[in-house]
Amino acid sequence: MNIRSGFCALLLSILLFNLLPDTLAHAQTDVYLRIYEKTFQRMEVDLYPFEGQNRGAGQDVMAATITEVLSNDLWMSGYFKVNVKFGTPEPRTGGGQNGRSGGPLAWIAGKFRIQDGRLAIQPDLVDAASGRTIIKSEYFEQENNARRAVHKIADDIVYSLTGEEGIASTRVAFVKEGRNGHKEIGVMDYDGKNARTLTNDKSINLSPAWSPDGEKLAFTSFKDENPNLYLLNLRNSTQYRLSDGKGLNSAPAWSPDGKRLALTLSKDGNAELYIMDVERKKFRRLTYNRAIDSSPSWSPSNREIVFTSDRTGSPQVYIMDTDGLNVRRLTYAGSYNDSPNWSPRGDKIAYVSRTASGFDIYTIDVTGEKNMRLTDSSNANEDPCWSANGFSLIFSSNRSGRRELYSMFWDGSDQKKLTSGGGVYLPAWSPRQR
Amino acid sequence: MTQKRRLLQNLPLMFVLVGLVACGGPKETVKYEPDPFPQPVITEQEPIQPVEEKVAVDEFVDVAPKPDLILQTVNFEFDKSTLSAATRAILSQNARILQEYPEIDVRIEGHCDERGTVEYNLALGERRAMAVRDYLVNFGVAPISLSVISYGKERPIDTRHTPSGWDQNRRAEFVILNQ
Repeated sequence: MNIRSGFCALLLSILLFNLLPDTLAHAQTDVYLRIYEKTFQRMEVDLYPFEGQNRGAGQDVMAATITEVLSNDLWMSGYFKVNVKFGTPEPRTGGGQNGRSGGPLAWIAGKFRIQDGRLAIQPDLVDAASGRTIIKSEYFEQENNARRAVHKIADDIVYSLTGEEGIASTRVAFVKEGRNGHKEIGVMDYDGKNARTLTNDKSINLSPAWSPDGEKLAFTSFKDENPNLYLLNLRNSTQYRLSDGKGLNSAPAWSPDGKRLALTLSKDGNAELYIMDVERKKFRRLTYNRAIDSSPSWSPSNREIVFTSDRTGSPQVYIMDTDGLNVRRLTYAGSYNDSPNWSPRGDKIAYVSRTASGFDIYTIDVTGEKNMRLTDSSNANEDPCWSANGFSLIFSSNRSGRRELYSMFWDGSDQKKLTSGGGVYLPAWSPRQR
Repeated sequence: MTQKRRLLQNLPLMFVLVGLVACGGPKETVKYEPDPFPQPVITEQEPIQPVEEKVAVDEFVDVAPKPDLILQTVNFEFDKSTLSAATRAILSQNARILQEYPEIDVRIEGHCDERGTVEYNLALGERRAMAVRDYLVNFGVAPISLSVISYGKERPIDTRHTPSGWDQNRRAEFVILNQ
């Protein structure tokens, strides 16, 4: 699988550089900047039904699944508006259509076949301006894993049209409260499907944090009667203890280079921030005061950390260098600001602010400008976490009467419930799966 | 012998308690569970009687009871770990009891209401538990017999999302570890 996907990526990049029309290549930089603008217009793509190659009852279901998943994935990428078409695409060539002057940027059709529980999908992505096929490779998956194959196709379409890695294959780790107040770590696809639990120790497990390679989760667990920090390897489902100082070992956050963890320890009698060298098990203390210092999140540059501190008497968001120096306060509005999460793009920080009616999610530029409220309800909207492309956020909210996970775009639009059953919180959006 | 008699005197009360707890359903019994990570209740064999109540009765028979060993829970203001006058009065009572029983070990559990984030509340709950510990130590309780843990907002005793529910949940509880 890995060799194949690596090969596909290689093929794709060759295709991208050779086949992408000039207009489109130039458009990439525009899009990158424009997507944050209010005037940004999604580019239209036409999506035709995929044709089943063998006869049978499952064909229509599979075709519908492919359309549904692909349509949602392309929408969630932030770039595209999908026109779902029926019938077969008419042959079209040239004409300078590029999404701005009317007409779609590209169209997508394809074929699939199912054999002995195996599924092969062959999408056909055609650039509308040139009429040329950009993707025409085959994707193989177990039949009951069709969604995963379609996510991969969506990511490749996004990549070949925009030059940006997609997020359709990412996953979300979370905490799920069970009966008797137990809290276990779970994981699901980024669209809320395929949820399963990863721990089952009937204790309290909190704050899952993905390693940048997407293969490990650090989390806090009370299973040994102290909130210790553990590392769960998703490849082989093994766990080991990372940190077990007396008191809190909480709020883990991986450095983007994957070598270090920022975390809160209270072994010295107060909640302070530390950086742990994961390999060498060495700790460096960053904060020295009587306040609570917690909830660290790294800048994508590896050089700064945003965190919460109540050193002024109530929680506020601060930024400091990773050596603990150059502390500066980021939030001034509101008396209770917490849970900062640094966008992978580097420019924005999402956080939670207590309002008159509840808790809401805000974003603020790292400069302290453009403070923006994204949720607006008389409930608790909490735990914001950015997607790997920095265009979307996942968060928890009790607006339905129970705590569930929701996603939304960077500007607060399209808030969508992803889970059901209640008791779900502390989402952690995975890095892109390689 | 007096202990046995006291146990007999208390038996009817215990049955009432057991009945009350059983009526509350399985979710309610968790609140009375002293063990932070209880084993699952074996419901097939004893569908009504919660296991933990039975254990309590057994202990009364085997071990010397300490009937006046009741350490009262104390409550806090929102986002605060300061001890009010009323709280200090309760804690001084608790300190007196703990001095009478120097052999027991107590875990002070700090808790928060549901407002605010998980990680901040973990630290806040610890701060509450430490404030209580420091106060008890000042009142002559041996530090070695006191340990602290914070559950943040993860173990509410009142599941209502209301101000009075929150008042109940911002608390420090005392759990006796050996008796």
